Amino acid sequence: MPDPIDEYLDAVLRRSALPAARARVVRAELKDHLAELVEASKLSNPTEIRAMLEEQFGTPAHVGRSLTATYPPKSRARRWLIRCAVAAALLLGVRATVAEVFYTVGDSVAPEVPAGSRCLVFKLRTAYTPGDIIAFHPDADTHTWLGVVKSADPVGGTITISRKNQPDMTVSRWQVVGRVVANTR
Amino acid sequence: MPDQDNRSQFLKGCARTLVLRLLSQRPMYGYELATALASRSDGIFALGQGTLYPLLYSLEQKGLVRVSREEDSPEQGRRRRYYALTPAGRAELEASVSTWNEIARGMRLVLGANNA
Repeated sequence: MPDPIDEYLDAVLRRSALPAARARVVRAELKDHLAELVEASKLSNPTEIRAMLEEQFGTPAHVGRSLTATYPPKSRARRWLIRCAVAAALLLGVRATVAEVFYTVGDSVAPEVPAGSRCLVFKLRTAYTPGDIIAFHPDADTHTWLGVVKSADPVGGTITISRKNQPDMTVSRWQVVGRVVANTR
Repeated sequence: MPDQDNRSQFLKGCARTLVLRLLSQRPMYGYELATALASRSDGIFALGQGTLYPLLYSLEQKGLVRVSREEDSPEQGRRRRYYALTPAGRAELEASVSTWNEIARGMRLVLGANNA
């Protein structure tokens, strides 16, 4: 035999728009109150209990609407906005410190990374070996270039880079963005 | 029934101050608060008890009351949440009572004059 209190609470919460976690807390609290009402009423017939609850506590529709009103859509929207802002901040933090995606416009390191492909640059690694494809900022240029590591001088902190149809160039470690770890072909 | 709606709305507005008043005396859980409100007002504030919880949750969101403790009620699976007044709630109560006294005085003056 279903518990009339649980059935009543099911009806109330169906008509409310409470977040799930909040609904659980509210349900537990209301259940205690309703149990006291039932105990005081000395009723045992489920139909009579339900009628008493609706009379003394309120109809499920009324109670559900009242509970919803305590969390208006504006506050729910605000919570979602904060969550999106936190997610965006985390993504930006990852992009700034861990990995970033670049769109390749030239064929300076083709065919490994052909023009028009997107490549993932991993930023945490700081040691580069010949053959690594790296992204870097050349002198006096804010763009990001790709190049193949020819040699790396751990003492001097410089890296010699080769690019197709261009003379080799030497850059400092601080000019390096990171190493290409994957790309779309 | 417009008269019943007006009375109901008026009572709801007053119930907020009365809930703060009761909680200023000692922490209470929901059922205890509802029965105290009805008995001490001689049945005038025997509102639909379901309306008490949205009021409590609203007061909690505004920082006027807080859950002071939770304990298991005698029946297993039920949890009583005791509400208590916060310092902000105490200040709000004082302001509300002051406003009420002012309104009541004004009402008495006008109603008393008309009935003279």
